[in-house]
Amino acid sequence: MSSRGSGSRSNGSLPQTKICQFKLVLLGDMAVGKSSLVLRFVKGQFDEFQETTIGAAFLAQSVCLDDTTVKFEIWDTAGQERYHSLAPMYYRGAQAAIVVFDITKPETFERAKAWVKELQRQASPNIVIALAGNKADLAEKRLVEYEEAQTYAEDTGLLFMETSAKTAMNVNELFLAIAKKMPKTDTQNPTHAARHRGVNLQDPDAHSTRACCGGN
Amino acid sequence: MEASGVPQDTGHSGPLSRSSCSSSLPPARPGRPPPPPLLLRPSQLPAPLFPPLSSPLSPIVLSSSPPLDSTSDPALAPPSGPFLLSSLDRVLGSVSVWQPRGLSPDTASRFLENQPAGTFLAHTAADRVTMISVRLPDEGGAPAVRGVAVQQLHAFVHLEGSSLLFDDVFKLISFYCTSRDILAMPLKLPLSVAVATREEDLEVLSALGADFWMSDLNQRPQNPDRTDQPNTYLYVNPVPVEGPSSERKSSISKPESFLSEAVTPSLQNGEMSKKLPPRVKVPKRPPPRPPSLTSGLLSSPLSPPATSSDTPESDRKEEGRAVSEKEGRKSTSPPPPRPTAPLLPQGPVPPAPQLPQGPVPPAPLQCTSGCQLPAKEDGQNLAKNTEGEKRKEKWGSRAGLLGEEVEQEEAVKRKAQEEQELKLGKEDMLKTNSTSSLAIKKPSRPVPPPRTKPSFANSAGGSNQAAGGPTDQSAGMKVPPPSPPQRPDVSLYSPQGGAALAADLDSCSISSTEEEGELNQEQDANPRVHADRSCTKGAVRRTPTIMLDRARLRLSTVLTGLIYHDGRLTKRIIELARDPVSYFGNLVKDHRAFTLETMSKHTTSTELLQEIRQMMTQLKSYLLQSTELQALLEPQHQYTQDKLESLVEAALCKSVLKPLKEPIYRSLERLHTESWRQLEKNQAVVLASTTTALGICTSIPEVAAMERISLKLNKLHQEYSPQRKIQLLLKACRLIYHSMSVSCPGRAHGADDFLPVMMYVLARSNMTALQLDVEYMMELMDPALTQGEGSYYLTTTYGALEHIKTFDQQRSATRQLSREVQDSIHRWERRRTLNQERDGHNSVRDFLTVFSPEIGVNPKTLGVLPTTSIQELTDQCAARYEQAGFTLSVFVDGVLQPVAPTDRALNVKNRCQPGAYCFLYHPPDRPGTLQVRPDRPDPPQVRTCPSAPPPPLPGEDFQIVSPGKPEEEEALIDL
Repeated sequence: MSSRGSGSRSNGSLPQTKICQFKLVLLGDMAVGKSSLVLRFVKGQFDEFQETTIGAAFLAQSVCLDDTTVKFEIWDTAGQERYHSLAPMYYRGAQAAIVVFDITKPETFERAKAWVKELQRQASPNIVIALAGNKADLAEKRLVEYEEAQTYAEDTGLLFMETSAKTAMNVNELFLAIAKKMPKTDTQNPTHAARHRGVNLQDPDAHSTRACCGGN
Repeated sequence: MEASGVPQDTGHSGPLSRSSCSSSLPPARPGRPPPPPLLLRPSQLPAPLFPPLSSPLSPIVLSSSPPLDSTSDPALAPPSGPFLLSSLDRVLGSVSVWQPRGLSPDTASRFLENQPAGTFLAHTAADRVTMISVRLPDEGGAPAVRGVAVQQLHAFVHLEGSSLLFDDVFKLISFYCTSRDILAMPLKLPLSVAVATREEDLEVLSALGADFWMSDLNQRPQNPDRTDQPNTYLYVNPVPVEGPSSERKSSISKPESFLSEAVTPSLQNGEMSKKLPPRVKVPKRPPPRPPSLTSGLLSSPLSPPATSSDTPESDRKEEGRAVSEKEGRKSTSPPPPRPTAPLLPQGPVPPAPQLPQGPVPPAPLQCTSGCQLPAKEDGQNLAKNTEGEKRKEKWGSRAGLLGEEVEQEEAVKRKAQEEQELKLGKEDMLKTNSTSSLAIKKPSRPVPPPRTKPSFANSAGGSNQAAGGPTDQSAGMKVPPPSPPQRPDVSLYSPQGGAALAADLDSCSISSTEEEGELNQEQDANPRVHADRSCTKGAVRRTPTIMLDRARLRLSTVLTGLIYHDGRLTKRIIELARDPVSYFGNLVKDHRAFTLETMSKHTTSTELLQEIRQMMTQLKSYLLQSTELQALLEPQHQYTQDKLESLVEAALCKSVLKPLKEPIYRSLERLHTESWRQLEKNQAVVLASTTTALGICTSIPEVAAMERISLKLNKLHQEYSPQRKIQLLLKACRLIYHSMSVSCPGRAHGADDFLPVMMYVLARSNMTALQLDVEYMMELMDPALTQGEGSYYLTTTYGALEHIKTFDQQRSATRQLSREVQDSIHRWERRRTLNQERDGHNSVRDFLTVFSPEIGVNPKTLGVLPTTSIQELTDQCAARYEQAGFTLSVFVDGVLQPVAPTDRALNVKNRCQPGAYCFLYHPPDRPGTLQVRPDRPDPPQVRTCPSAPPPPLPGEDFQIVSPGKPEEEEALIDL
């Protein structure tokens, strides 16, 4: 693990910690490392905030920011082209999205752009979109230049980071950056957030009501 | 629900066996107000056609269900009790089906023409005579429907041409469902009614009223020759009634010749029955009846019981033999069968014993006589039918009862021994009933009796009696406690009692412990925890228990104490929801009626389900702020709001959704026939696809894993609670993950890997069922839980199903999901937030039931807002009844009272005691009935009434009475 969360963390014992819950959808071509990226985030240093799930297609993880605990429900999508049509079901209602591409495969970048376009057209208007150039550890095979992606992100108003699920580079930073950008006041029903735990087979009690704090 | 309250009307004076069952109901609710006077909802509580009196003919149902006290309200039965219904319960519970008020003879005939033989309808002909129209078997040329008048003799009713008298028409019908007497064949309740095992089932059916016959709830027997209607045994105790006509006289002699079954349950007099076996038969001298039960009519000396060719000795012998046989059998009784499955006889049929035709054991005091009734005769006939005789011949020969008697003497003799046994069992049952409520359960746990061959054959072979019968009879037979010769008066501390309880709990899926277990499970998804609880449950079951009436409550406390307070609270809420005299209970009941009435009107499944969910949410939000719920809370157990909400949700699922589940599924099927075809077509395509074509890069479930997954999905399909369905879906998904990891342990699989395997699995599952399930879950789940893992996998399942539906093998596959699907998902997402926002809004829609043009006729449940005025309600009535110009009044305190057009409908409702009023939409001028009472007194507040009328709610939440409000769905779509 590498980078530390940049956000300041509040003390978990603070009783007034606000809990915000967000739905975050992962989009990107097959095999660009969507799942790995999220697994790195979830299995990393924030382990104590990880909720057990039955599989990696849905993951939940909380991060702490100041006086707020931000809980991400992370919805993975299948990247195969043939399942493209299902994507709207997943990004509907999502407050955040990470569009992932592989810096060694230009076609995945093109696909990522298509996703961004679709999100901006069809998803919630306020959705926070982050672009992740994954597999940054394979710099020697790079085919998508950092600047190119950076420029595109700036033009379209996205968060952008190059990440490596393998080395954990920028993984936590990416999620923290998203968390910071989320409208804390607007989380749906902050007061009810604790209730929105969904159905969890294995650990019904490990929810975001836990005291916050953390990562390192 | 229909049955609820009805019995009060029918005024059973009969068998005490029915009287103790209220005590069999698990823990009494604290301080429940007495049942309201009965004018209430005639749709459900038809006023008795004839005033009840003490009964000369008091059929006692020997059925698999504990006889319900006729004065207790079945709807009050707590959920933990066995919900098996007696035949009388079924008749009572389905009255609005077989006696839709306002039915004309012509309509009746039309309804009946398409029904199986034996189906009947009751209707009032001119001059207020009740007619029962029976569908006859198809015999060349003969009219298909025959009407028989129900006539009144003294205080009793009887079929025209028959000499058998009954207290009321319910008992009459109940009897003729078992025995045909003068009819061509026994009456047959609709199959759906006959196989109903729970009150909820009946509630669902009877809510339809006459519409039932046209609905798809009116199932046809798969094989008309083989019905599944329960074979019920009635204990009949003939008491001659002096009639004015010669007809009477013939009736007196008729029963006597049939006295084969001398059965004498002794209810009030335990000693009698204790000594019964050895010295019972005193054929000619029935013991005196208790004065309180004696009717004037019956006080005349009984005529000598019968002509019997029998001697008391033979009778005694029979009885002794029966007892010993019974003893032997008891230990080997196989586990109780499920009520509806016809059983084969479990034991050899003993040689036909000598027939104790005349001798009558001491009469049950409460039964008012020592005579026998010919009820068995018909049973015998039926038995013979199944033994191979052709029905038609049978009917022919049965045209005259008297002739038949002779003809069937042999058969009767054979039957007699069975009857003896039955009688013994019955005695026990009655005794037990009288003192131990727990013991009542024993009869309800059927053990296949050895002697019932004829009846079994009967039910299997196509008689009209149905398959509950074996259980019913066995119920009677199982009753005797371990030491039959000297049966203890009550089974106090009886080890067998404990066993019976255990068996009961084991076999009755709705026993309180199980139910609470379920609830716990529902609240806790952790399988391990659940396993632990199961163990606890098991331990509880094995504990021998005391079978005392008064121990009942304690026992229940112990049981529930071992489980969780949560479960107990949930159970109480369920009880409240079923309590017909509580405000909330009425709300739930009306909601159900409303839903059932409007269900068929929806054109999309989403619409249908959303309305149900919306109303559930409203009920929930009402309950959460009601004083009714506060009264249920135990001060020592504090719940967080979230916890409370989830408990209420679980209870509502049980009390609202569970009875609606089947109708909902049927409606969904109706709405989905088209998409099913597509689904099935593409299923084959997907099945033929290679794993590569599906995009699968991992291992796929092996056969064994597929089986386990299918098991979970099947279980999911059976489940009624959306939350529990989702848990099962997650379990299935977990199994999929497991099988994916087989080739690559430890690797975490994301959606790229999971979705294709999910497709693979779904293509090998029952996709049509799953499609309904997914929709059911998506729309009906608790909006508070629509996020999270369950939501993700639900979305994935839905998406995979939709993808299969639109699967294109050319796999240029960017085919968009249909617009409807996208919209559906969109609405679903949107609704979550809307529902959540609504949580705080105290939104409650209420319901009112209106009759028109007379009380009891044509009930409609209308949704109202707190702001709805009587005028608006009148307009609604005009629309619903398609009848303008009528007046809306409220019938309360026995009189029809006018209501001011500006009055708020809910205020009117809230002024009345729940259940003790009804709204009537009637022609304006009704001389004599409309009694103006300006000084209308405030009706007493019922304990369970909310202290305040339901809180106001935002009008935009409702469409029904908020014309002009934007249609919600539209608003949703335009996010």
